Amino acid sequence: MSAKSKIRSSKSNFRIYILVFFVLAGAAAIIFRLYNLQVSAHAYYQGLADDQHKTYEELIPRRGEIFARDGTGWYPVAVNRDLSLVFAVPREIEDAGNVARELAGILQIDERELKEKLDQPDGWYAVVKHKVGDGEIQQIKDKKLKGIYFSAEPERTYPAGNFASQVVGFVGSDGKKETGRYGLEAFWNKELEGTAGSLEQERDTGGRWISIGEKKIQPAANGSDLFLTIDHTIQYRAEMAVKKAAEKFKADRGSIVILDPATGGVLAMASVPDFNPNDYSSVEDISVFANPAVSGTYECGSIFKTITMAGGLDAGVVTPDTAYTDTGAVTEAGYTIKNSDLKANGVQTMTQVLEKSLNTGAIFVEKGLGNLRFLEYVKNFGFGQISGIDTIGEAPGSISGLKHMRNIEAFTASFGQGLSVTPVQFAAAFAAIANGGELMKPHLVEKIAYPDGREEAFQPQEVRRVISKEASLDLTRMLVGVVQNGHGKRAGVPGYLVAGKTGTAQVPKAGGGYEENQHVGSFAGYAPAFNPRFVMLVKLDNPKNVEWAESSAAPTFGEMAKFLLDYYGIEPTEEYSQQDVDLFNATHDVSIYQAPKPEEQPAETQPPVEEKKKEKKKHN
Amino acid sequence: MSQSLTITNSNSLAFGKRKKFSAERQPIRVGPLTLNFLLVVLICAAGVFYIFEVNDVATRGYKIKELEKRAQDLESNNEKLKIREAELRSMYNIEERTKNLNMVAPGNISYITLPGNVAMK
Repeated sequence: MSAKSKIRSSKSNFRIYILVFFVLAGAAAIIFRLYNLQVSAHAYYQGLADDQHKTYEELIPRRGEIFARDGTGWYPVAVNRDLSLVFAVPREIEDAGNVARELAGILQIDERELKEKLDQPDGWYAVVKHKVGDGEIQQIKDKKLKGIYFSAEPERTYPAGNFASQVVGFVGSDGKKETGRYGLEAFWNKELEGTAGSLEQERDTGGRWISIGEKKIQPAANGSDLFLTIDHTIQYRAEMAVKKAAEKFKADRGSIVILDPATGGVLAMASVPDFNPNDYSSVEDISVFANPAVSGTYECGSIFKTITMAGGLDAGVVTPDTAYTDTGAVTEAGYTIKNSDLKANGVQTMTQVLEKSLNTGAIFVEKGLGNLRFLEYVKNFGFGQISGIDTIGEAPGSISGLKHMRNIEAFTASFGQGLSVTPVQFAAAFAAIANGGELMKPHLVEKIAYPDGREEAFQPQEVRRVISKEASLDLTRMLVGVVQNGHGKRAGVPGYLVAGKTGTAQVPKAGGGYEENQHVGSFAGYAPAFNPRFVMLVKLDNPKNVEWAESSAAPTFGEMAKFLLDYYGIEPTEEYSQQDVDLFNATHDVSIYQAPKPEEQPAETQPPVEEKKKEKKKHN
Repeated sequence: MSQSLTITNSNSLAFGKRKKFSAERQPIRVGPLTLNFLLVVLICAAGVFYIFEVNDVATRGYKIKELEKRAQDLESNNEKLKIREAELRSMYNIEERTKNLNMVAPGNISYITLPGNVAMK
């Protein structure tokens, strides 16, 4: 071989080597890339291919939350907690017995039942337990069990437990899906639940989703948040007050409704018995789920004389000083209607009719109005129809007896017998008197916040003018008299003018007539009388150890009114002495609003702080 | 001829020094072979560059995924803490906890009216 051809051959070899080098480098790079894709990033691409969790999250809307006013901010009453669903792929499980034993111990479920579920070598899917907390999930993860998986499962939770449970309601299954049941959760369900998303994905011939195929996801629209007019502190105090009153007077049930008279916004709506919405399935008597303040009807009794009097004053039939002669009884259609004290009081003014709660006086006003006009006033105050409050299950009550236009039914209705009302209806009617005669629509939701950030505030709605401003002022003066001189004394608060009226009503029997030894005590009122910040109705069903509402509902009203006046920082308008305060403290249960005086504290129950500390140390 | 080749400046006019190379050197020819060679080199370089880029994207993808997961975890943790805060802020809870603190509820509230025409609060 010549030198020339040698050089050429080594040259061509060199070129081949370079080519081989590049081919090999290319191959190595491809292998490296394949290794990266298939081994190192296996989990990532596997996850990407069947990203069920992400898809699920995109399709299921997040339920809106519910907030109560709390000072200048908001308190979350209903929120969502992320729990987990534990499920198994039985075909991946090697030792079903062992896995079942481990899981049953952590999740507190039946081991044998679980083993049966897991012991299916061909099984693809078995639910182990729904809604499992983080602690348990971590414990299971630590065990590194093969074939056990988790997926997110949101749960509605109520951080304050029983707080406003009957107002808010709860979320439960209606057999098909989780939905709002009772209260605001049910009434506002459409806004709260949002809109579910949709998923379009190619399927193979076997109908299975092709996980790497093209997905068209229409994401879910989350639910809207509700902001309530309910005040966290007032609602809590009202709940405590009604609980304590029901306990003290051994009442079967009780309700307190507090409204802002200027707007109709509900500040508190508390009832007993209540329930814990976090544990609603353990409630035996499902009637406690309903909100008795809007769906419970009752005969309200003498408290209704206020409505009759409002009509009389507005129509000009009577003035606060109009006098009539109380003979103690009125006879109509063979019935004799007597005063509750069974006395004949002689000449009495309309102010005294309310102060002494005279049935004959209410009949006197009704007679002056006439049955038709009386019915008109009753209707205009909102009785016999729903108030339109924004929650579920509102009852209209009944004034059907009045529509017969018979005197006897109109007479009994004038002092609150033979018609039925709901607490919220009555509170709204009283709010109209407090609000200068304008009836406002009671409402619970102040604003709604949509998921796109928009907010919609609900403006207070005026329903109608029921009575004139002058009539409302006259009536307020008369109702202040009831608290100062009449049956409502214990509803008064030293230093303030409180307007209100008691009512002790009989409980109708199913077959007609009235139950013996059963009554409903109620008190409705507002304060400060001439610039009212709140209207409140206290109702106690069948209190056992008191005969009249002036000893049960009225003091409860007084205790709550004292708290509210202090809470709002309203200055006293009237002169009062220490004696008045002492009397108030002696006749009211102020334990949760006011500190006991030092000398009243029994020494043995209040050991010095030093001793307490020592005791604690001993325990530790 | 010596074994070593002395390289001098071609413009040198120094006597006895040899020129480095002859003036008849062939110019570089760019033929189809060179083009092919350059093409192969370019393709390979592009391939290598592509692989590095793809790897880089994949690594960044990991990081994004990791950060997304971290954000999700933090969000979920935040939600849990919010619920815990709400539980602790509940009036029921606060009152229950204050029971053992020997706290004194406010007594009668006195309102002081300040002199002057300016309303103060």
